[in-house]
Amino acid sequence: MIQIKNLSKTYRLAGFHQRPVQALNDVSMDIRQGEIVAVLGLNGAGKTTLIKILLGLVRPTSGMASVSGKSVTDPASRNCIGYLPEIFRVAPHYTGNAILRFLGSSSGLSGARLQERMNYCLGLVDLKEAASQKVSSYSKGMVVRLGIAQAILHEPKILILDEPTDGLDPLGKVMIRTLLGDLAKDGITIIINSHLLSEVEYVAHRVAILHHGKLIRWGALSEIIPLDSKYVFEFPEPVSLPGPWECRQTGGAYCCEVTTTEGLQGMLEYLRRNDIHSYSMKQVRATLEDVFLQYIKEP
Amino acid sequence: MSIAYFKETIRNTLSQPAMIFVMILQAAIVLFIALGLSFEYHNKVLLSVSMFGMEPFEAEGLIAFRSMINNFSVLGWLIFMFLYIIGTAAAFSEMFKDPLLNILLTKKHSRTQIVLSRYAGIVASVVLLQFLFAVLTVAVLFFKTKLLFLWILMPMIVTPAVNFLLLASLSGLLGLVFENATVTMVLSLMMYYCNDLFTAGMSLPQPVLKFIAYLFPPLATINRMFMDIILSQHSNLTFPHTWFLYACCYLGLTLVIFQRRDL
Repeated sequence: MIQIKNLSKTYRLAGFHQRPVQALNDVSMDIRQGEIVAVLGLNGAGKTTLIKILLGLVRPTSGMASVSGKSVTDPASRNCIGYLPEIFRVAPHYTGNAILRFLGSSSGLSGARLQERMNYCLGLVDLKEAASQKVSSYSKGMVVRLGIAQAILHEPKILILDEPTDGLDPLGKVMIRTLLGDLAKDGITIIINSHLLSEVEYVAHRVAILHHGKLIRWGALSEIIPLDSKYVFEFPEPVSLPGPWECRQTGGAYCCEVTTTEGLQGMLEYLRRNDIHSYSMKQVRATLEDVFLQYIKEP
Repeated sequence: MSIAYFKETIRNTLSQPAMIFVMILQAAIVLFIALGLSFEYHNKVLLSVSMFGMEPFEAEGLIAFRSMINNFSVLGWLIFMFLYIIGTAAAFSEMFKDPLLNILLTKKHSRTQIVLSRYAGIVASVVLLQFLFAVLTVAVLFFKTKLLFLWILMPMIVTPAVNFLLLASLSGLLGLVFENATVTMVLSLMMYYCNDLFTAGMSLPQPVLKFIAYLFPPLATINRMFMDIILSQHSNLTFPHTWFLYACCYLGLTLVIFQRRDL
């Protein structure tokens, strides 16, 4: 569905003393139909540049990217893309209906078909009743939901969402999560650019971690997040531990984290040898946030 | 061209404070013509025009009337064009800050369509305002004199339209180069009001200066030509193709810059 090969982008800034900024460095990815892909990275990692190249808003310096077999430099490649920008700001005179009508007609929809799609999309994001109100009276969450409605209005095969759950309340987040899952089941490929790692973990099938423009990790969530994860030992009183282990006070107890299976065996052996029996141990599965931070620290 | 974006540009342009002020001024002028002007006729020949009982020009009726319309036109060009330039300066320079632009470019629109729709929208807004103003003026004069002063449409619609055809293309180019509404506005105003100064080099023998002078739009020539037409119904300056050539060059450059820009 989306192919990215050795994609690089260098921004040449104005001014003699300005150095070129490499936003993307040799990024390659292959995104399949019906997949939900999350693009993660710190600010300035190249996430937005990658998305903008796919949308044809930024031209790559080298490499290639194609959408449904068409190069992203070909305007026809964008016909099947729905896009929600990070800031979806609309002129205050627009009502929900008016902005959808404007963007729908820009997508080539008209007449009864446009009205039918508007009703359907507004129903999906639960904005049917507020559709005749001015957007200036909408809450932040309602504006995001309207943004999602306009992105899916023309029945795109690919949906690119920049921070789709930012500003939504827990109920709104669940609604969007369910909606994205349903859209993916219908065969729509979804690319999410988000900082909310816990949200991404719920919906994404595959994750791309970008750091300083390089793709440092790309794979399924199950491949990226280790299943054995980490073990937490909890002691009622401070315990002197050797080597890499450290006993830290957390609330009323003293905890020590062990991250590898070898470490676990070593720790159990140490506790047995030193006759320490008063402790509890639990296995904690690492979160995407843990993994992300680990990769960012040691790419 | 994108009709939806064209309509949106007209809506945005007409909602600018400067454009609303133009509408208020135009309404005031029409009221002034309706209530303040008196025409004296004999056998359908205009003998004199008086303004609140006073004759503004010591001349034969029709000449007096033409002089007055000319003065109104000059006033219009000075004030309205000033407000039009202010009202449209941000149209291209602030375009990149509009989050809808990125969405529109992912729809069935090419960058060329976006620029052309924007340009056409700006010119259409100005023409629309001037058209309504001209039609109202002609209608008021018809009710007062029972004569159709159709030639008024020329200075009131065609002149601003031609002026703006050039100015909007220039404003587009300046807006994309500087991406700053204030810079675009100041440069456009300078280009319009100090046009004789910029184009004076056209008659110089020095080829470099001559070339530089030819880069500037010949806006003053447009005004001179239409003033000649108002006053004497003919002009020796007839080269409208030059204005279109300038507008096409500026617009072409705007398109090239916009095509190559990372958004």
